Amino acid sequence: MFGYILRRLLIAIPTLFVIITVAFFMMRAAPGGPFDGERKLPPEVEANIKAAYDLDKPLIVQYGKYLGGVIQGDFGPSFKQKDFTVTELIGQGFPVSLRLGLSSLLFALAVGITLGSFAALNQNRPADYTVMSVAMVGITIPAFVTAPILTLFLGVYWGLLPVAGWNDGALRNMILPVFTLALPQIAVISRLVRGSMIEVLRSNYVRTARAKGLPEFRVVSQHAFKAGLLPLVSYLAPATAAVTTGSVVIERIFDLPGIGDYFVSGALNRDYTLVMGVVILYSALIIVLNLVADVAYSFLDPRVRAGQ
Amino acid sequence: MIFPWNRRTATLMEEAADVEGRSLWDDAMRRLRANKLAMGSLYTLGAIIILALFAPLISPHAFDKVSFICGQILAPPTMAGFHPFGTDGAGRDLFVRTLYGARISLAVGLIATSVALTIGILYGAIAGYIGGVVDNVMMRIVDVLYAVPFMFFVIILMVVFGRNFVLLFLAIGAVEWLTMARIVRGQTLSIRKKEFIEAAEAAGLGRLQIIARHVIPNVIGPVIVYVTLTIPAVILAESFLSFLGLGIQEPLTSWGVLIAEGKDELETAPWMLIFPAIFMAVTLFCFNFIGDGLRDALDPKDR
Repeated sequence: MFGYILRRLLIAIPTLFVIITVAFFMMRAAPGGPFDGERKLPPEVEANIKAAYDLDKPLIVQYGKYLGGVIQGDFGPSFKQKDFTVTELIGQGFPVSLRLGLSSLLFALAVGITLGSFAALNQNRPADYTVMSVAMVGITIPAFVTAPILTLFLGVYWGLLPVAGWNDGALRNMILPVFTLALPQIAVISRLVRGSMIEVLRSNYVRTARAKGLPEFRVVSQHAFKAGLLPLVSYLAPATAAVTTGSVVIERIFDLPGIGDYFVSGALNRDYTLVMGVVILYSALIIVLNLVADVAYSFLDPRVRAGQ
Repeated sequence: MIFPWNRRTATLMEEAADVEGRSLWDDAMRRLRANKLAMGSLYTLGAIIILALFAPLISPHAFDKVSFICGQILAPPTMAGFHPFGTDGAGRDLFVRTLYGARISLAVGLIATSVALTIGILYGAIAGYIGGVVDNVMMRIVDVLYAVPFMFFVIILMVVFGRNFVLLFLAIGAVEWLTMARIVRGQTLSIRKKEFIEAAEAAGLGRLQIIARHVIPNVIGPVIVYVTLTIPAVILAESFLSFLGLGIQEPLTSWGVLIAEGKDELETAPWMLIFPAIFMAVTLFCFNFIGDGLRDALDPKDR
């Protein structure tokens, strides 16, 4: 197992390297630069700025310098947000995105598992169809439709919740963004749980547990959940990817100071280093979570362990 | 003398002669036809596609005709002047725009999915059929690519190439092929040792011919199911990009663009959000139900 983890971590290094390289050259291939403004700068000033950011050097030299910095944990200065390094900006934005993402995932897990197992226990009955139709709505209506509608009613008309803003992560401000970000995940998770729970509930050991006369609640919580919730472990990494992407839109709509919003404005403003920083951070996050999921899976599922 | 039971046997045999042999696909089609939800979705989807194709014939308005006449801007739905979905901030007819958006959104969905399908099937079938080291390396590459936050790369791509229409298809397609490749590889592995493949090998067919003629046609079932679930995912991805202002450009439009515009006028002109959103949601619903129906039809053991 230790060797396996080590091998996966070793694969992660070339992966990140390829990601950094592709992102670097793609970003530089974009027309325009970070210092192109409405007003043309005097040539001397422009030359000075470019020299300060190494933009006057050949691309390959810039790439080497950047890579060297990244290896030492230095993501360089932001090209657009003067006086900030990328590390500082990410340090400001990431906690917001992290809190938003984690809360949404946890909320989605809690609701999704409940709904999914409820549907599985009532398979092919009205309760099942209701839950699955609602889940389908969650999958088909994107967050950027639900968010404005919910804001309009809960925020503007009824004045129950703030319309936008972060307010240092106050609960009232979190409710709408977390809910809209979690909605598609609730849908996917409940479908996933329903499918695997239906299979598990038909298995012999669940029949045994029922035959022993265990109350239904214990059959589900102690016996069926163990195997029935396993697919969720491997869904962890895709869910994280989906939530980080979704968070870009949610941060836009609710005007939250997370890094998803930095990324989009950074890409549009040619803030090379900021965009790179966000890409590297998210790639690393997904790689680590993929690894965690795989390791956890082999601990939890003896069939996978035997196969290795 | 004809015994009654003999007559019965004779009729039974006659009936049996009428019954044709049913292939896996006939069976699947029969089960699909019995699935009301899936068939309803199929017809609804067909209706939306026909509406989208004949949009210019139905309405007298052009999709990009701007009109700043008083009362034509942000007009609520009305049959007077034939604006059944109302008009937008530039006085353009929303009915026509929604249907033009349908064209683009569906086109993105279909083309990007075909891109993903082509790459995924070839890649997965080759990896699964050849096996060994080749398979190992090819699937490791897929694992590595899974770790890439692709939406971010698509965003960068759109910035680099200035929201190119064709590139949007290709970029999204290039994102979606990974799962397709995994599914095809798994299927290929499961049929690789079957007799018909052995027979083809014994007949002296080349690897590529075996993959093209024997492997791919036999793994197509689960792939079709996945295709019907990829199309809505792609439509969502496109609308996501358009929402961020990185997708389709004016005066062309897509559901994502229309929804993004509608969101800003939600209070003054809710129809600008509602109609495109309904069309998009119904389309995604249909694709998902058809996908579920196909899965049940092709793999009846879960019913």
